[in-house]
Amino acid sequence: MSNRDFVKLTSEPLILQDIVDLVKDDGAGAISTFNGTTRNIFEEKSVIRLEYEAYVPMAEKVLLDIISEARTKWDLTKTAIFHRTGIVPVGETSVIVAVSSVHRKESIHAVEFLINHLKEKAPIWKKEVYSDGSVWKENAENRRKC
Amino acid sequence: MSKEFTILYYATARDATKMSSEKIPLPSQSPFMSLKDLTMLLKERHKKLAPILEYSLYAINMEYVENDQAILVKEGDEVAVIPPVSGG
Repeated sequence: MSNRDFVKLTSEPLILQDIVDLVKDDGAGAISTFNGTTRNIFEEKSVIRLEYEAYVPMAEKVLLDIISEARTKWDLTKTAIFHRTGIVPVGETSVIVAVSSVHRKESIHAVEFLINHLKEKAPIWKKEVYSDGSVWKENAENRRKC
Repeated sequence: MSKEFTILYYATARDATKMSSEKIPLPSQSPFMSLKDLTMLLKERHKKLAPILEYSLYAINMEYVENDQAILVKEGDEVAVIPPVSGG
């Protein structure tokens, strides 16, 4: 991995400040972040916990590809995408995207692009566990087979 | 020994097959297998996987296969069944 793009799937808790520090750069006047948190309610069902499964090497490759694509659109200083795997209790952070750039506009747009494309393409799956069963979720952005 | 490739199952596909991966031998008369033939073979091996394959994608060696690609699976490939993703 380069020293300006950081991608990781990890079972460890994600700490926003640690990831902000990774993309911090004296030449960058802006750092934009997205912090995704697991919700406690889905269609009035109470979620006890979430379980994330990932095809880790491919997910990391897809995320680096998405970053490369973002870099063709905007001038970005540093980027980071971290995603949890395994059990994530309700209320904890499941994903963090952080981008630095010289001015704010580039990093704000890039963060939205990166999280949208992660949700569409990264081979990561979320299972919601309720008191009476569990369901594998599906993102609305999904690409479908014909 | 027959030539084989690896297939990986995730999420609903893993639940349906009750396995995360398996080795599948290529037919002895051919060093390749089309994805259409692979889909048929997987449906025979795992009845519960059939409806999931209808809305899943394949990845070969960590690259998504686009629908119009006439890609063949060969010895040593890592093929993954990718059900609709839900990261984030």
